[in-house]
Amino acid sequence: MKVSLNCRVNGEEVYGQIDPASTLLGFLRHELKLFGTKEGCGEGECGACTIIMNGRAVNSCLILAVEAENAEITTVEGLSRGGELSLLQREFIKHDALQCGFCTPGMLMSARALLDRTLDPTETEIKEAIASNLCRCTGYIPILEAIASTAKLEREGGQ
Amino acid sequence: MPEECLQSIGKPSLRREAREKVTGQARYVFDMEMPGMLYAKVLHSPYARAEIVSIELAEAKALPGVKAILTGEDLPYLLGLYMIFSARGRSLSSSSRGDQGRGKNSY
Repeated sequence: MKVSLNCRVNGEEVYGQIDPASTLLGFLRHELKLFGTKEGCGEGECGACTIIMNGRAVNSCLILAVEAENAEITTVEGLSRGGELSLLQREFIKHDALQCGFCTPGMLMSARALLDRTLDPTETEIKEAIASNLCRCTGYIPILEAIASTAKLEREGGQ
Repeated sequence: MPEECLQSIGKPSLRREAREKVTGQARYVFDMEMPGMLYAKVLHSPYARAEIVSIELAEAKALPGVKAILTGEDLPYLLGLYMIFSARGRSLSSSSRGDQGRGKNSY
């Protein structure tokens, strides 16, 4: 049995006929071929699959695709427009906040959700925002610095 | 060597593949899809150290769509990047992965 799903992904209306048991992560990766969102653990521990759904950073591996009916979704592919990197992405590069890059899409989405909420986050708020995103190579300091720096630049009007 | 001659040392360098990684365009093995691609699942021992007496495969082999089941018997060599030995000469760490699925299981 298949069920229908309508939602908006990165500003585009999408429609799918999906297995009711498939996860939102599976839908994004295998139906929409948006491979930027990663599957690390598949059980909500690692945060590699983090996306923004209706303004909140969520683990797409823990959400059934059917729950995304009418949802507004942003994935890492939606962060840059027209080939131009967003400030957050540029700051990640500048601060060398990535190595293997597997956790990076999830980190970026958790950071984006935070900065959409507040452009003046405390260090604790930044740490809490990425508390559910595991990184096994870069370490967290450059990532925290990249997010803090983005907040500052966006406060000053940068994009 | 005078400092002005140094081209790389002491200077930041940009990661070449960074752009692909912050846009989600970087392709990992896990992101690859190929025609007729099969999927594999690793079954780990529930015990960190135990003797493998037998592995019952008949039921798993009978599942629809199962193409192959590999055990340690099919891979009779050591896996892993590093050889690390304990004082007693018993292999530890990743080199001991070769023991998995046959004989003694020691993580």
